[in-house]
Amino acid sequence: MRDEHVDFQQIYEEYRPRLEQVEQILKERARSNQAELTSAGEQLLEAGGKRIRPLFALICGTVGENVSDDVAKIAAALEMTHMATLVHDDVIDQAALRRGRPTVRSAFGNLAAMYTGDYLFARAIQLLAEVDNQEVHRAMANGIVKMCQGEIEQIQDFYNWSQGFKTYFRRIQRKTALLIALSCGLGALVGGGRNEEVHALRRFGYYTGMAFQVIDDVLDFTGSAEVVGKPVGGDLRQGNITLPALLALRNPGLAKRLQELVHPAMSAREATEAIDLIVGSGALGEAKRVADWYIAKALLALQAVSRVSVRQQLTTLTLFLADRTF
Amino acid sequence: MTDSKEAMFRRVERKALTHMHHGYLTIRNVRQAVSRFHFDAGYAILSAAAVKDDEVEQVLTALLLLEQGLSIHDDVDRCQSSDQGLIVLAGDYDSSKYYYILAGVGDSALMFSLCEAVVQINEAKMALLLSTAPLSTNEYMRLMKVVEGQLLKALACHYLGEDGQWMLHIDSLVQAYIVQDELRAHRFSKRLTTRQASEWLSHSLEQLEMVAGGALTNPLYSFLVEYFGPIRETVRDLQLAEGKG
Repeated sequence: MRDEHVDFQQIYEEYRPRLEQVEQILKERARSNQAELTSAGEQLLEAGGKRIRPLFALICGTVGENVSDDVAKIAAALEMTHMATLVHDDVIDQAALRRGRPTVRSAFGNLAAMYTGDYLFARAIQLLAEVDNQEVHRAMANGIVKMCQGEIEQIQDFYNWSQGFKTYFRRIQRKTALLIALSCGLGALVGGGRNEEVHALRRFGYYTGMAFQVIDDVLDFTGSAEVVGKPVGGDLRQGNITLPALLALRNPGLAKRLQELVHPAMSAREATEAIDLIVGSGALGEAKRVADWYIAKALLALQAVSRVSVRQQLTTLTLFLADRTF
Repeated sequence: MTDSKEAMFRRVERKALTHMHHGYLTIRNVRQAVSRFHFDAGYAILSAAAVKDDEVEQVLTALLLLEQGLSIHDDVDRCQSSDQGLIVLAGDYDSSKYYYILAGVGDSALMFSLCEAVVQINEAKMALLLSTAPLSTNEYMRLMKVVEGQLLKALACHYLGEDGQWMLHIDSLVQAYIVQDELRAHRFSKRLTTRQASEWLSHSLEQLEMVAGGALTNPLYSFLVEYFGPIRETVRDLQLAEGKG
């Protein structure tokens, strides 16, 4: 674990100049003629995050022979799209804080958050329009439509205990895995990867994204509120039934009680009891094994990639994400 | 108004509504519509540029999806908190479909221009929303013209070039649309006086009347004439109300 952590840091160090290039693009494009929009954009940029999507795009962009600045543009556009969805998500979730900082909606109001998200999304597409490759647009557009469908389906399935695993997996595919798959696939495409490598890296990104979201859903039950930045069991409190809850539901002794406890008017006491039942059911370990299965599939997909450095860096990054605690 | 224009509107409207459709949004009564004004103005611009029907259909469907995606977000604080999430997502879904259609058209320059328009629209909306001092009526109109007209200007700029005359007339058209909308919504007591509305509409009409006679056969100018017909009546009514009749 310690060695992997060092490796992970080494990858960040190696890509620091290119990540800084992406950061520079983000700063320039988020800057607006309107002071509050600039301030809202900077607030989102400063809240940071791991910049996982840009890093995946940059690594995959080294798979071929092309050394192209377009990879950095694509990486920035993907991150900007992600930022746009976050600022709108905070309105949907009525969130006051993100990573311990006030959200755009709590600083400026819901409408300002809507305009900020729409502004950032336009900037992201504009950035992509500078990349002369129609395949980039087709893939990105297809992915964004599905992401939006996934977000709508998430609300549709709130408090829905009759949803199956298939529904859950389709939802997280759309909500999370697609954007990571796009980061890898588009990075490889613009970086001049062979067709089979582009497809393999897209698959790699998809499986890694699935694992990433499953782990996120496990951490929602185990992470400390201070570190994760939201209350333990926040998803369940909101009515979002994730994999650990669905796995716990398979236990006939728990199913009836869970369904009684989790409903739109659930009290804090009921939520805490439901969370304790899920944590005590062994479902978190099972969910972690599902994430491990996705990680194994991701690493298998990497075998089609010929450049050793890309395989090694993506393997390290994926294993680090699988072991993360926040 | 020609039959082919009406047929095109029906096709574009049906296509746009199909793209906007999501079963759950329908169940939850999230109502969406397309802007007839933006269709008419967009159609006039594309006709003036002699764009082929297939492309007109695609581009106008994308334009109306984008326009609706942006404007439905203005309603986020007007609905119940339980529905806010759906309003957010409905708008995002519309915008994703606009991008999907334009990605199929494959015109990166048009995509770039429309994105720039969206940037300016959101800057104007933020300025309208967060202005600390009361806005003058002229400043209010300037910002509103960006909100309602920038997509049309981007379209005209892309297909007709940056000729100042096109822009001037689209500007007048959008100004008249805003004044009409304000009249319909009875917002004048808050923002504008009837005198100001009357002056603006008269100004728009004067600009139109400056157009050379021959140019009136052009689809964009024909639309302007058609659109301004009822507005002439409104101006007369307003002037009578002001005692200027």
